[in-house]
Amino acid sequence: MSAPALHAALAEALRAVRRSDGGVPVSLDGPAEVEPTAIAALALDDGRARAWLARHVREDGGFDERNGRPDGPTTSALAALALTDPRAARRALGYAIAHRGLPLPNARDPEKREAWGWTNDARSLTEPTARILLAVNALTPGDAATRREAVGLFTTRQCADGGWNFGNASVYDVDLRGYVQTTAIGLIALQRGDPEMVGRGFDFLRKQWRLEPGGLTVAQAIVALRLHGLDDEVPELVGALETIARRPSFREKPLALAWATLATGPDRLLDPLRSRA
Amino acid sequence: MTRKQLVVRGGAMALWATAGAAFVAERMGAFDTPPKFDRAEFGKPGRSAVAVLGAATYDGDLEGVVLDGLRLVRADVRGKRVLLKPNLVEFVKGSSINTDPRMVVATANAMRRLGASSVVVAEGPGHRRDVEAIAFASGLREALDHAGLRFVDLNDAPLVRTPVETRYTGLRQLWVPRILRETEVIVSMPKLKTHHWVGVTMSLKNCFGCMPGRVYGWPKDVFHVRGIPESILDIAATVRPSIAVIDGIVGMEGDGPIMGEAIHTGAVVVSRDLVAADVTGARLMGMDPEKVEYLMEAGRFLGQSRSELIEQRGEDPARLAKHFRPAPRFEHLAV
Repeated sequence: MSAPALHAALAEALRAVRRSDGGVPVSLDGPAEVEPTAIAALALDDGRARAWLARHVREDGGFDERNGRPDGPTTSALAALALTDPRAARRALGYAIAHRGLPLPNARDPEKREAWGWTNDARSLTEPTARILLAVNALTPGDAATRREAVGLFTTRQCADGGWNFGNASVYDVDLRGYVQTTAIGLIALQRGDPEMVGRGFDFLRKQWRLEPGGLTVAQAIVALRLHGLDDEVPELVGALETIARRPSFREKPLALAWATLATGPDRLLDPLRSRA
Repeated sequence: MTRKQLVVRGGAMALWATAGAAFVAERMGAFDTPPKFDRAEFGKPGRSAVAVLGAATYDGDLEGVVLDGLRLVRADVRGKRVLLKPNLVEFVKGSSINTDPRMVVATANAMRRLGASSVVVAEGPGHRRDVEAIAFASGLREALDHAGLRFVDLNDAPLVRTPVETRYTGLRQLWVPRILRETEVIVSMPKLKTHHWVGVTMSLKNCFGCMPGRVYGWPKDVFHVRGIPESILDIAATVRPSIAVIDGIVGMEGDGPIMGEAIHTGAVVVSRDLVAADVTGARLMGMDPEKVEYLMEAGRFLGQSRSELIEQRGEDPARLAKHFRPAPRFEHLAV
C-alpha cells in the first residue's frame, strides 16, 4: 500500500472513532479528551475537532476533561498547535509554560521550577517538556528563554545510548535505557537543535525502532524523521506501520491512530509542527 | 522536618538521587507517625493462608499449578468477573522484568476452570506510553490473542474518581480505571523481584500499574514524588485486589525492578491476602520481611504480616527459598 493510500485508510478509521461532538477519545469506550483531539485535529485538518478544543479551553488556557478531571498543563501546548484562534492558542501555550514542574532535589536552587512535568506536582520530564518546546518553536519562536529552558532538560537527560526515557538518564550511577517513543517525541521537538545531540538521538532511534513495534512509537518516529528532512528513511517505517495498522488492537488506540494518520499524511499536515525558530 | 516535607523529599530522592545511601537512611522510620484513618474499615487482619507451589519451568502444567494454589487458599471466583493485572513494565529480550505471558494465560485458564464468568487482562505500564510496543515485543499480546483473552490498557481506560481512605500520600482521591470498580475479583500478578527504591516488589507494589499514566504521568511520577512506600499503601488500599499470584519461577535479583539479573526460584505463590503473599515472597528471596517497612505498615490494616499467623500450604517455602542478591543499598534486608 502506498503512503497516501495508507493515510486515507487511517484517516477513515480515525474519523470513525471521532465522537459526534467532534472530539476524539483516548480509548474506544471513553469520552473525548484533549490530547487525541488535538492530534486528530492536525492529522485530519479537522474543523470539528478544532471547534471541540475551542469549546473546551478555559479562559486561563487550561482544559478540564468531561468528568471534571483537570488535565496536565502541557496538553494545553498540544492544543495550542491545533486551535484556530491565535489568541486562544497563545493563551493555551502561556498556560502550559506557566505551569512548570518541580525541581530536582539536587538542583542548585531547590525552590526554582525549571522545565515541565506531567502535572503541577510532578518533576520535569522529557515528554511534557517536548510538548512545550514543540509549541514554542512553532507558535512563539521569539521566546528564546523558554526554548533554552526546554533544551536544557534534553541536554541533561539524554541517556548514554543516545535516546531519552521518561525519567532520568541514570539512577544510582547506573545508566538507564532510552525508549524509542520518548526519543521520537523529543526529536520532534528538537528541530534545529544541537546537531550532535540530535544525531545521537537519531542513531538510537534507527538502531532500536524495530524492537518496539507499537503504532504510537513508529508513527512518532516517522514524524520525527520527516520533520528533520530524513525522508529517505521513512518508507521502511511506513511499511512497518502498515503491518501494525492491520492489528485489531491498533484500531482501539485513537491517539496512536491520530499520530499514524499525521505521520503518513501530506507535508502540509506537518506544517503546524515545524519550527519557525 | 514535617511529615509532608519528608514524604516529598523522600519520594524525590527515590527518583533522582545518586547519593542513594541518604535515601535509605531517610526512608527508615517513614511510618513512625502514620496518618490517622479508620483501620477498622479494612477489618483486622486475621490468620491467612498462603500456598507455595513448585514449578521448575514455564513449560509444564502451569494451569494445574495455579489451580492447585487457588484451591489450597479456597479462592472462590465462581460466577465472578475476574481481572488479571500482570507486571508489564518494559521489555528487554532475555530479561526477567515482566510476569511471564505463559503464567498469565495459565492463571486465566485456571480462573475459567473455577467458574469465573469472565476474565480480562489489564495493565498500565509505568515505563511506556505505547503498551502495544511492549505487549507485542514481550509475546504477551500473541499469547492473549491465542487464548482469546481481552487486554485493557489501564493508562488509557475511562476513569472514575475514587476517595482514598488511607492518606499516606496526602491525596484525597485517585482517578481509577472504571473497569477496576466494575470487576469483582482483581488478581495482582507480579514478578518476584528486588527493587532499588523499596527493597522488594510483589503484589502490593504491582498495583502502581493500575494508576493511569495520563493522569499521574510516566513513570507514574506523581507517586514517586509523594513517596513510593506511601503510594504503595494508598493505591493498594484503594484498588483492593483480592488475590495474589506471584510469578517466582524466574525472578529478578540485584538492581531490580528493571536492571537486575534473572534468578531461577521455581516457585509460584498464591494467596487471598496480598500482604501475606508478599511476606512469603520476601522469604523466598532470602529477605527479612520485617525489615521491609511498607510491608509491616500494610500488615496493620491490609493483610497479615506476622509469620505465626500465616499458614503455609503446599510446598515448604524453606525448601524453595533462594538468596537473591539484594538491590543496592538494601543489603540490610538479606537474612
